[in-house]
Formats: sequence, structure tokens, C-alpha cells
Amino acid sequence: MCMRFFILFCLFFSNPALSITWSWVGSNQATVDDPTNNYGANNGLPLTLLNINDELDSDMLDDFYGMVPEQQEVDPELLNSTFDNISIKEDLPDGDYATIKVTFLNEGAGYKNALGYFTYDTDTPPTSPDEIEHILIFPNGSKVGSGGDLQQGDQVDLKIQLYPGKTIGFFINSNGWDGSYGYQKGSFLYGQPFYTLPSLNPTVGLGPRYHVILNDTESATAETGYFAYGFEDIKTSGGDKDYNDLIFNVAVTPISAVKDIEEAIVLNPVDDEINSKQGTLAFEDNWPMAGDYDFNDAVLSYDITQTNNGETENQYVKEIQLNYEIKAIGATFHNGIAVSIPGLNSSMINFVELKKTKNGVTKTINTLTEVSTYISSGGTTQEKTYLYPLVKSDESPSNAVSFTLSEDLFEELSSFDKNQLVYENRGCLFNTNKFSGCNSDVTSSTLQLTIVLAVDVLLVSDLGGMPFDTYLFGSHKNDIYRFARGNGSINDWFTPWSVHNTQYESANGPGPGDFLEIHLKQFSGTSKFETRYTDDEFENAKSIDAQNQINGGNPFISRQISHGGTITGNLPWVLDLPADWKHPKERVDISLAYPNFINWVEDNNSNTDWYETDVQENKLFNK
Amino acid sequence: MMRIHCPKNILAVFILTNAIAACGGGGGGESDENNNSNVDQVNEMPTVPSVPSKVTIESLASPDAEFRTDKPISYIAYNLSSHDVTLYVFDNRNNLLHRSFIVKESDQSITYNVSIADKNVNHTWRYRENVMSSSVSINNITSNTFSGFL
Repeated sequence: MCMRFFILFCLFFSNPALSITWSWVGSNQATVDDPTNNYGANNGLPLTLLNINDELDSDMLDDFYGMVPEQQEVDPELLNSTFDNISIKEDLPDGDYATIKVTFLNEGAGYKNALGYFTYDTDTPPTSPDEIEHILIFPNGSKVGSGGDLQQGDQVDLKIQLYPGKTIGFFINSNGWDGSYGYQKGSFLYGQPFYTLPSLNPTVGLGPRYHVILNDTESATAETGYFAYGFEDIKTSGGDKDYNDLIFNVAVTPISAVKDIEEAIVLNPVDDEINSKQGTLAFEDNWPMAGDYDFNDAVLSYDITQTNNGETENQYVKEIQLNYEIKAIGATFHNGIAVSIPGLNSSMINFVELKKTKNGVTKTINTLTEVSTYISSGGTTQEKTYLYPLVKSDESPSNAVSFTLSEDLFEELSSFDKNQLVYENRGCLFNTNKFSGCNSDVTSSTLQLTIVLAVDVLLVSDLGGMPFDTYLFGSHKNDIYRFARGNGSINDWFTPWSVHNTQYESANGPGPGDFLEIHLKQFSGTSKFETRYTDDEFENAKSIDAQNQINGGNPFISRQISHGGTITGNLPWVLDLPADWKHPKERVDISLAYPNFINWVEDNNSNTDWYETDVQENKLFNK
Repeated sequence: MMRIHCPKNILAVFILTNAIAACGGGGGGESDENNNSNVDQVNEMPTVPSVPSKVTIESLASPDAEFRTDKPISYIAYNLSSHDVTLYVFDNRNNLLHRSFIVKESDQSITYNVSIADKNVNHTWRYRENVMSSSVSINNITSNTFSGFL
């Protein structure tokens, strides 16, 4: 009991309740201190609304929902936008300013949320809600039939002049309307409103952003621009995280006054067709040996979106976006990850970019980005800088281009410390074993590859199926990534192999690096993949399990051999699985965790639901 | 109260041992950490040795096996309403599989992949703030029709 009082005592004094003195947009003036003359008594509706629905692009709301779909967790890219608020350029001619009008579009909330705005000096943003003047626009942001009387296109002129060096931001007061005029409840659902200035917000779930903002170029005129906003009204540790609970447009005149507008994400037309696939890729990385068959050496969830031009004939691919999250690394080998997209070659690419996001920080990589590693040689250590191999050379027999998603998966658990020239997680068991060796607070990067194609160069029918050819390769980043597949013994398969392939040795140790690849069965490897790895060719190499491509076999399934008197083989090293698949614990054969797996392997037409029936939960990794 | 110290070097060896035992790197025998108990057991009844489960490596797959856990779905979506609508197709995990814009009184060929065990998807038809959703069986589906908002 004493402890409870102590906790309450601490909470009370460490987080005093926020008190806000509200203002409201007036009928004839920018702000008023009393809402009774300007807002409906029973619906909180502004009394001087102008409906501009006819001026908005007719498909704009459809387009917004196309990018921020109902009940779908918001696209992380929208939360990584560097454009949050509308700032006015500092170099406008003397006396020039921008005017602002706010238009209600829609809401999908059970709450009666309030929408308001605040302004500040761009160079000195507020550091706490106490420093803000809160001005309510829609005290009850609810539409007709949903607790209010707002309709799409209802616009309020803020009656302000925003001068150079000033910024306007917005806030949502979740379930704030108290049921009378424009008044708000005396307490806050989450202790405070959520602001479009993320530094003012609590960081939970998806981080400190509770809004998305899109440049609505479809509604824009030469003089006036529009920004479509969507707010999430629930802390993102829960809720549907769809960020469309309150949607509104902000009209800025002149649009040319807006600073850094090119950084705003543009609203895309919904008549583009989208195909998406979500799933999990599980790798066994001991190829060409069978290994322990726990399929957790690398586990990646993926979410791939292919955007087509939506034409009924001659349908072309416009853009491909691939999102990966590293779910587990149960390996001692250092592996990289790459993707080759069948049908796509380098001449078709207009733009390509890789974003790696970890702990809210995004690193953007393009074809000119330099990265660092370090080399230990002769007792000395030095840093080495080189171009990140984002676009590899055309490598496959069909000239499909490969993209490097990660040079070494362990890097994605780490932050490179240039002063010490190290990655802190150079090897550990990430999410496969309770005693992992990883730092206790380790998290992984998410990887997002965006490829924008030139116009009308790749027919949809010529593009391979998702998840395309996402494959593992041996990392080859010198000392700290020294190849670990060989230990110098003739009993491992790689050492004898390397004796016969000295061309792959670097100055700092041997290693096939990305000459070693592990693919889904239906792919044969890029032209860089070295097929000459077997004891058929090299004396003293230990027998290996993979079939040999140069002898006509598929290198990414196992050989048929006698195993305890039974013929076995034809097994894969990579599986493409549903999105919510859970991987086995370290060194637990997949068939012990999923007993129906064997039946399915032996006959793909039986037990097709093996991944969700008779699952042995105690054999799966659970944090 | 007794306090138990764990010397750092012992802890390091323990962690290192676990890390080295990880298999990326070795064929080794399978083990389950749940079975690593060192607690002595007293058995009053004779123990019947269990038959070890067959493991994957003792299996023979067809050389033609594709190991697919998804299946392609293709059909025609008809929009008989008086609105240009957007069709969203979600799987039962609420993942977006497909989105098409279908003008009024027209149709569109729909193709996507879905997990092989799934039997239904969700169709959401949207025109501005108007939304209508329904569960659709994909077993032998050849077409689906939208007539209008209720």
C-alpha cells in the first residue's frame, strides 16, 4: 500500500497536469476568448463556415485514403517525412505574407476530437505545450451522423497573416469537446493534445508523430496550394494506427511562400493500381551443408508494394517499394542480404534509394553514398571508406539488377562508432536464444528500398512475382567481417574450396563474400555466384549436401542421398512464409516446431496449412 | 541477506559458449533448450524410451516441389454502381493485397497472391467517405460484383 502511495506521489509531482487557456477562431477576427457567439451550442460547429467542396479535386479524398487506408497501420515512410509544419520563407519581399484556410474533409473517429492551430518563430520552436497559444478551429471535429455537423469541404478562414520566419502547426485534442459551444473538457485523454511538432508529443509505439501531411497538388491552383493532414487520435501503443481519424486540408496562399515544399510527400492519384505482398523469408545459412534446419539464421519480414499505371491495356510498372524488418539472426556467419528483381534491369531505373531506420533515425543511401568499415592488418587498424554498392552490376543471366539491402546483417543491429572503429554487435543471437550475447536493448534497422522506373519501360506481365529474388550472400567486409565459413581445417567444406579459389582471397583473409549466395529454390543465382564448390571438383573438400549446378542440378536444394537407409533430399535452404510466421528456437529443426512440415515437404499438395496447425509453441522463439 | 555475485569473466564465457553453439555455423545435433535440464529425476515407473521424431533431413521432397505457401488469385471485379470506386482487397491479417480504381459501370481484372491456407479476403469499396466492406470467399472465385452503397 505504501508503495502505491509513493508511486502516485511521484507521478503527481513529476508530471503536473497541463492547463491550457483556449482561444477560438472568431467570426470576424483571428481569435476570440469566448466561443458562445461563434460556435453552435449543441454541435460546436463554427457559425461562419464556407463549403468549398466543389473546389477540391473530386478524387482527393479517395487519393488520401489510397495512401492512408482505413484500419491499416500507417506507411512508415509517411512518418519519416521531414516536412511536418508549414513554414514561410525568410526571403519574401518586405510586407509579403501568406494566408491560411482550414477545410474539414472527413473523420473516422469514435471520439469527438477538437482541431486547433498554433504559430511560432521557425527558428525557435516551442519546447513545451505551455509555450503555445492554443487556438481552436473545429472544437468538435465530428461529421454529420457521427456526433457533429461538419461536412466535407467546410472551411474556416483563420484570418491571420503568416509572415516570413513564421510557422503554423496544428494539434488534435483527443475526445476534447465537452458538448457545449466550443468548450473543451477540463482534463486531457492523454495528458495533453497531440501536435504536428513531434518534439512536443509522447514517444510511444510508432514514435512521437501523430500526424501525416501530404502535398495535395491535385487541388492546387497557380496561387493556392493545399496540404492534406491526417491525425491519429490514440497513442500508438494501441489503436489501429491508421492516422486518418481526423482529416483536413490547409490552403496556403500564395503557395510559393512555403519553405522546403519539395520535402513534402505528394498525394498520389488513386487510379494507380497497387499490388502488395507481405510475408516472412526464413534462411538456413549453412549452405551447401544442411545445417540444423532451424530456419532462423536470418528471418526477415517483408512488405512489398508494386505500383502500376492502372491502365487496362499495356499496364506498366511505375514503382516498387520493398520494406524489410530483421526479425532474427541465429547465425555465427556474417551474411548480407540483397534482392534481384526479375525483369528489371538497370536501364529501366529512374531513381533508387535505400533507407535504413533504427531507433527513429533514418540513414538514406543512394548510388553516391560512401560508407565506412575498418581493416586490421599487420597489427594496425585503419578506416576504409568506399561507395555503398546499392546497385550491383547486372548480374543474372537475364541481366536483372541486384540491390544490396545490407552488407552484413549484424550491422543493422549496430551503430558504427567511428572513434572506436567498431560495430557494437559483431556477433550474437538476435531473437533466437534467451542467452543471446546481444546487448540487452538491441533493436534492428528496418530497410526500405524504393525503385522508381522510367515511364512505360517494364510491362507488368514481364515482372517477376513478389518477394522477387531476395537472397543471402556471404559478407566480405574485411577484418571484423572475416569470412567464418572456413576454419583452416580440411574437415570444413570451405577451406579446401578456398585453396582452389585463391582469386577470392582478400589481403586480410580468405572469403567468397558475395560469390556465395543462398536463394529460393526457383532461382539459380546471379552470374557472380560461384558454382564450383563441391568435392566433385576439389580434392579433400568435405562432402556437401547441395546439388551441383555444373552437374545439372539445382544448387539450392539438397542432394538425394541415403540417410539411414532412406533416400532423402531435394530440400530447400530458403522458405517464403506468411507474414505472421514465428521461427523456431535456436537449433530446433523446423519440423519439431511445425510437425506437419515434413508431410508438406514430401507432398506440397498435402498439409498446405502446416504453418498454422499443430504448432508446437514451446519450440518457437518467444521473447 | 545473501548476495550472489557472478564474476564477469564467467558470465562472458557463458555467453560466448552460447554464441559459439549457435548454428549458422555447424551441422551439429539438434537440441532444445527446454530439454537441457540437469535436475535429477526420480522415476517410480520404468521409463519407456520415446521414439525420436523424424526430422526434416530424413525427408525426400519431390524434385519438382515449389515449396510455395501462397497461391495466386485472379478474377474480374464488376462495378455496377454510379460511382467511380476504389476497391481494396485485404487478407485476414488485415494486410493490403491489392488496390484498383474502377470507373462506374465497368470491370477490372484483379490478381494478387494470398497465403495458401486462407479461404476468404475482405473487399472494401470506397468512394470518398462512402465505404462498404464484405468478406469474400476465394474458393473458385471467378468474379465479384459491387452494386452500390447501402
